Order: sequence, then C-alpha cells, then structure tokens
Amino acid sequence: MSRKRRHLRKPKRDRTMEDIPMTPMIDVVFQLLIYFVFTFEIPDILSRMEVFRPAPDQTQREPDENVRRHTIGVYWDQATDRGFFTYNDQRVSAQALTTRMGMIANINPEQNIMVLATANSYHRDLVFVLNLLHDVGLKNVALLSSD
Amino acid sequence: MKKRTPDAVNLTPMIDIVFQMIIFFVFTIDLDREKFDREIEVPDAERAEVIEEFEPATVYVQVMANGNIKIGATPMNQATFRNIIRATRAREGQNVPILIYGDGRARHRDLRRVMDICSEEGLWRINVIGMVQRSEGVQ
Repeated sequence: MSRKRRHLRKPKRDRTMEDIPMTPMIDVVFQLLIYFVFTFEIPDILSRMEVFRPAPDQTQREPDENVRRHTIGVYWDQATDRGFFTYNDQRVSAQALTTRMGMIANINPEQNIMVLATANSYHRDLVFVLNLLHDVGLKNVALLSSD
Repeated sequence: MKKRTPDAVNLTPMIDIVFQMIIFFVFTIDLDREKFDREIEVPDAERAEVIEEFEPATVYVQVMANGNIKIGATPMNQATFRNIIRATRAREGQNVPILIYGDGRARHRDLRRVMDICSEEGLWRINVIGMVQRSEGVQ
C-alpha cells in the first residue's frame, strides 16, 4: 500500500528561474524608472565669488594719499528702481566700468580694489561687479558695506 | 514543432535595459539641488569660479528676495541663524566655508546681515554664489 502511494507522488523538480514570478519585480522596476524619468533634471551650474571683508583694525594708519585707490560703488537709484555704479566717486556705466577695470588689470592685476555696496543696492549689482572683477583677473577685492 | 506562446517571450533584454537605466538615474541624481530653494533667482556670474564640488562641512545660506534667511528648507530668524553658525564654528572650526545663495532682487543689507553674523562668529570664508548655466527648460 505504502509503496503504491510513493509511486503516486509527483516527482520532485529542481526549482529553476522559470518558477520565480518575475511580474512583481518588473512592476517595481518600472515604478522606479518612471519616478526617475519624471524627477530627472540637469543640475544648475553654479559659480562662487569669494568675499573678503576687511575687519576694522584700530592699529591701522590712515591710508597713504600717494597710493592710488580704486573704489567701485554699488548704488540704488530710488527714482528708477535700478542700480548704478561709481568709480572713485564718479558715476560710470556698466560698460565703462568694465573697460576701466580691464585697463587696471592690464597694468597690474595685483592692485587692491574696494567695492562699496550701499544697504539698498540690489544683490545682483554686487554680483555683477564681483563677476566683472573676476573676469578681468583682479583678485585683491575687498567688500565694504555702507548705510 | 513547439508552438510559441506569449509566455515564452524573452524578457531578459528588456529587464537588462531597464536596470541599466535605473543605475544611470541613481548615479546621476542630483541631491545638491535640494539644498537650494527653486524660487530664488540667483544672478548670473558666468566668469566666476565654477563650483565643481561642494565641501562636506559647507554652510549653505539662502537669502530670499524679501530678505528672509533659510538653511535648506528651514526659514529662520537672525538669532537662530547665529546659533547655527556658532555651533558650526565650535564643531568644525573656523575653516568652514559659507556659501550665500542670494536672490538678485534681495537688498545688500540683507546679505550684509548674514555676512556680519558669520564674521562675528569667526567664519571668514564667505562666498557669494552666481549662476553659470540654468537648468530651466532642459527637462
């Protein structure tokens, strides 16, 4: 009797890849793929401009009048709600400022440049000046803020 | 001759390609962009030094157009920001870089406030971020 039953049992089979249900895995994989496709975005390319802010030093002497200073002012015009620039207290256009800074850099790129930003000036105008100075190769830049 | 049924379709090449695509997306996913608010319009600065890699300890400060300060997605007041900078200085030392992601429409006084706090707490490596190339419209 028992011998008969043993013969009736199904023969054991090796578990192969064909027996593993692939459908759930493919479902999950496609969900992942769809998520990544929809959230994929080419990243922004960013740049940085180092800001050197001189600390007030009581031991410093008065600036030497014989040393030529280069001061760029970043201002805001309330009437037009637009920014404007000055070079050594004279109002200049962005184009003229670019040309002037290029000339200074050609003479000596190690010269100290002071950027004076007023409180109400737009950040974009300051970034314009810092970008310009970096472009012409003037690295010794100090940022001063005024009210 | 054996009849070919729909079950017999070979899925292996398709699964291979799908896995290749997933691997591509996993490796190219940009987690850095989560650091910055997408509403901030950073001014263009194509000629400045391109940021190739972000240093791990960097503090990313966002200054919104209205002058509000955020780190990551968290808006904060000046006192909280100062505490974070103070804690960072105590933990990481004074060589921690500060990256200011400022909106071009923000006023200088708002960025100056951020820079002043960083300087007062002893962090001097202050950088302003500019935009070289926007990803808008590429998607």
